[in-house]
Amino acid sequence: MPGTLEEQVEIGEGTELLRGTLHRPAGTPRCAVLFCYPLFEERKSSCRPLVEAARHLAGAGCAVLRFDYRGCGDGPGDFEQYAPSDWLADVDAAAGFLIRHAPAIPFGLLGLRFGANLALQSARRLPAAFAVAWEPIPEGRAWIEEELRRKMVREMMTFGRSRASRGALREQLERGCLVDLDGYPVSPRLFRELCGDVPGETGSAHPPVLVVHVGPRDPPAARLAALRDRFSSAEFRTWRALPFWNRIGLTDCSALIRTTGDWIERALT
Amino acid sequence: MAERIEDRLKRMIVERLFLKRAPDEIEEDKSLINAYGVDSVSLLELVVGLEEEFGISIEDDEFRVEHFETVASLAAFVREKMG
Repeated sequence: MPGTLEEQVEIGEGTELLRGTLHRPAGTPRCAVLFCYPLFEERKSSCRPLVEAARHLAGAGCAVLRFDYRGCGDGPGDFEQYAPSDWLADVDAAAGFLIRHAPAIPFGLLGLRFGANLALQSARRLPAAFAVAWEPIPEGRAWIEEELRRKMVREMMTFGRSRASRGALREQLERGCLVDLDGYPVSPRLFRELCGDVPGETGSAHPPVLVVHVGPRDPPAARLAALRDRFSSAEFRTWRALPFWNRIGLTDCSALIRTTGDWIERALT
Repeated sequence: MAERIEDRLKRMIVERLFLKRAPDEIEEDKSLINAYGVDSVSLLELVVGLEEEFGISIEDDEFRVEHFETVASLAAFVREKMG
């Protein structure tokens, strides 16, 4: 985007520095947006769409910070050392960094999948003017089941049939053993915390929230009900597309990005 | 006359996987992976689609590539599951 600037930044102090990219718009930013990334392989496949989203928002006058949690991407430490409670703290640190660099302007969060859950939790605690959640995960345990199933599908493609059952893998986790999920060592702590429910919005003030369901068809009624139950005051949209965070190859997310940018624009007025 | 399972499968595959072709262009004996680009990612979408479309539940030990090779093999698998 002409006039915008992208710089590599370090967040925090000491040995556990978080690393990210700060997208600065031309001129004074109108708002600041912190991106919260997905987990596991979802992070890799969604990398490019999130870069494009950041550039689009920077082109529209937003300062945007993308960063990696500890144990992920360019983040310090090893994946198995961390769990959602640590990554929530990372969001706090990144938010603090962004707010200091772009003070006195509205601050918001945009998250995808697990990152959407972190964004929604953080929006209740941080001075957030808005939050955008692309396909949040209404139930962590169901998500883990889906990831275990995905592992089985991949084994089937590689070996002709799946090797371990979900039950056996789940039992390993519940016994306190690490389980390999396509190279990501899932620790019992990570499993326990992921299976914990995302807090809803009850009982506290919350900023405007946009929840976007991304899928090839409208979400099953039960899933939509679960999302609406969790995020009762959010505005809901559907974007008909294959889940790009699970795709091999590039997905054109420009429609989703434009819709999100327009919504943020309205949330600021 | 009730829609053939094969035709429901083709429709579901095109819709769920965003294939750029009409359902009746999918040949029932051609490899979904080699001829139609179905990969491990879209295969899970297919599994979910099968369960929702046909009301079946695919068990862990049924994740065998021979079930998912072609529309014909998928239809045979679905018929077996539906009894």
